[in-house]
Amino acid sequence: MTEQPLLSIRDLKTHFHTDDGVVKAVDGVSFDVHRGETVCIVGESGSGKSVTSESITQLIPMPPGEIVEGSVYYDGNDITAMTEDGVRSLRGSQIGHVFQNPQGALNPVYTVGYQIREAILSHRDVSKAEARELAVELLEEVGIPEAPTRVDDYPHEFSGGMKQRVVIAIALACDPEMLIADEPTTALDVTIEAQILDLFRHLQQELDMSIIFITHDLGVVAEIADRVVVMYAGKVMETGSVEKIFENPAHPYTKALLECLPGQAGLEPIPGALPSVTDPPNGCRFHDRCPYAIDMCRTGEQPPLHDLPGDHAVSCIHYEDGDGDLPELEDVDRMDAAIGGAR
Amino acid sequence: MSTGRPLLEVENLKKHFPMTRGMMKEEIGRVRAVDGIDFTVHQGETFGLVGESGCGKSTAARTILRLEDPTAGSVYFDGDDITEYDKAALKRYRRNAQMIFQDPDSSFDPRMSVGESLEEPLIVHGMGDRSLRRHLVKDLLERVGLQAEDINRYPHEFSGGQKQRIGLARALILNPSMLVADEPVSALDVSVQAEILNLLDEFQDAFGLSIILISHNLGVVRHICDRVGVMYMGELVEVGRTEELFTDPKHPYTRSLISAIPSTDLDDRSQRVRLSGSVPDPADPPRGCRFHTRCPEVIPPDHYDLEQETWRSLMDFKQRVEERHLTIEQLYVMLYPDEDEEEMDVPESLPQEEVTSVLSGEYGLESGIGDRKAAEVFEATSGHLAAGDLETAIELLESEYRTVCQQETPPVTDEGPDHRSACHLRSEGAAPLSGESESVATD
Repeated sequence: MTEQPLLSIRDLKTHFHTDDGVVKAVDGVSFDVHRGETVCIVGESGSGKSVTSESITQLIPMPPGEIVEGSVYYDGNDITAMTEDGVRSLRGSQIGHVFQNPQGALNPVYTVGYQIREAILSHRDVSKAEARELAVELLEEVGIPEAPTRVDDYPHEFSGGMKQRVVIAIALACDPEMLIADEPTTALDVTIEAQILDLFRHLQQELDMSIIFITHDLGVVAEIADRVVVMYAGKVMETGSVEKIFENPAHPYTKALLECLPGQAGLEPIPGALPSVTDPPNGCRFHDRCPYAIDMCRTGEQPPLHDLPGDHAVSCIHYEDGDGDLPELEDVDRMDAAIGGAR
Repeated sequence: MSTGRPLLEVENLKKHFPMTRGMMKEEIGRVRAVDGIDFTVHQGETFGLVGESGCGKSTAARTILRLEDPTAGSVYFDGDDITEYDKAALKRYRRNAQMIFQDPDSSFDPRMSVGESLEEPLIVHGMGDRSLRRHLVKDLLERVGLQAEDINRYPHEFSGGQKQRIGLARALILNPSMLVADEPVSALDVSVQAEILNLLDEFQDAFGLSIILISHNLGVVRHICDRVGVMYMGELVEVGRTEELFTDPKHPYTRSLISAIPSTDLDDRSQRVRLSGSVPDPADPPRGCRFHTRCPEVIPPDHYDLEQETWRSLMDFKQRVEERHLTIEQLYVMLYPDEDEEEMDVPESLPQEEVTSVLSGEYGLESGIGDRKAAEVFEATSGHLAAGDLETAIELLESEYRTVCQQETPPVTDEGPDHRSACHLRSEGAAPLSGESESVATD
């Protein structure tokens, strides 16, 4: 793609200042989102995927949070350099948010119609009657049956899946170009999750929106992503088209994640635990759980993202030359010896 | 595996929760959380219970452990009916049947060390020797992959996966013969889930444990269960051996559930059965087959020649009418959505053609119904609705849009060894109901 991306994140670092030290939740993350594509950020809890998405529109509490470095270019403008008013007008009108728990996102004492109208009226110059009409249209758009009669119902009169549809309607209220959805289906049953994923796919095709979709579920990623960003301990491990990530995963972490999904033969857990966020290890963040780690992985900085053929990049020294592959496991120790001997 | 009597036999188990009103606690209805389920678990076997939230799987588990008293039915454990147990017998039973919970954070007292938490069951069951207790706890901690020194640490010092290991250790400390695991891995990250599942597998082999695993995650169930029961609205709709059930599901609900799992196979994108709607109110379950309100394969009457999808839409329509939802006020709002509510002046009747077209749009029937007779009934019903005559509309649909799925409870069909389902499509001689085929009463 040669056109300028809609969103471009460069070397973003979001840290939290806590009593236990500085939590480096996001520690140098870069990726692009083009118009009309769905980018999935996938990672385990604590990988920094949510903080990354919340840093885009500065939804993180500041303080203790702080964007210490890096920039977020939206349509060519750096959001991190904007005033608070500037960010606020972007939020909602250009970038919509959908959160995990629809229960918490809706106010129980107002009708859903009121809450959608509120979102419309705060960003658009329309009359109340027009806003009501728009609210009904939005509910129809997100697949609420008999929308004209449901618009005056209260959130408790909707099921979980229907509430999530209402939240999506609110996010769409101002015709955003980009939707950021943070685990929007995690709280839902599989059958309802499938419906909501269908809705996202449909919306994107109809409205040509860009979607950033955050999830820990690789099954969901395979369902809806065009491109994937795999995060681990505040860093991007691998990024690429969904075909590359699933059919040709490069990073040992991505491979391990794909192998530990229950329901397939040979369930392989990833040994060890996430590294400390206040005092991350030297070298690659994944090295102490990685079967392919050699001495070089344990020193210095996280390796840069090496470009691989096609739409694919990986942060692993085994791919330093832009091609290559992971070594055979039995060769790993010998590589250390060879390098040690050469010194 | 023993060939004799199963370790656990659940027979027609029911657990209803009464809904009461007012000071006198007058019963106004019941939530039928578990409504007559039968299954068995053999020694050394893992039995999975799956279903959407609210289907009654957790209540079933709690009732089997007598954490809830059953409303009806029996649970035989090693030949004894546990529903008859008195307090002392129950205490003995609970020693043999243990539970692990979903959230490892809230299942430990934060002020008790791991050792204290794990020793507690031993003290309750009368093991007085402290050094022996400590020895047992240390030994078990090592077996679940932790260290003996962890005995003096507190829950907050452990990660979620480690806490779940401790939870497993606590459940196993009394050497039970059965373990009930309620969503044991759903609060954990995928990389950690695998560890706990492998550990469960390991212990099952080592101790000949019987496990009842409750989960909404079919991947997890497929991985470790020998047999699986699929629950919907308090009933078991299908029970079978895991591989058979996953590769050749007989019940449409099982098929939909399996199809809804997001798959990592990119070729599978959007080739799946979609369920419409959500689970109905368990206090007022649908007649006949409880799944008929969402079933993508609901059986049409044989005198109609309809696409399956069209019949599904007509059944959705019928249901809305039956719920007395499509009143003249509702239809008025649907016809004129822009009108201000306060100034609404709803007439006695609405133009029939417009109502028909709005309803066709709402139920996705714009491209026609296909069958002439079914279409006539739809139009006639719209006519009654437009005239505000809800009762006649309900009667007409009841006599014309008939399905065995709504009329009769599906019988249990034997699908071969260890496999049964409850669906009219599977039962022999389940000829679709031939509805009264007199001419449609049109105005």
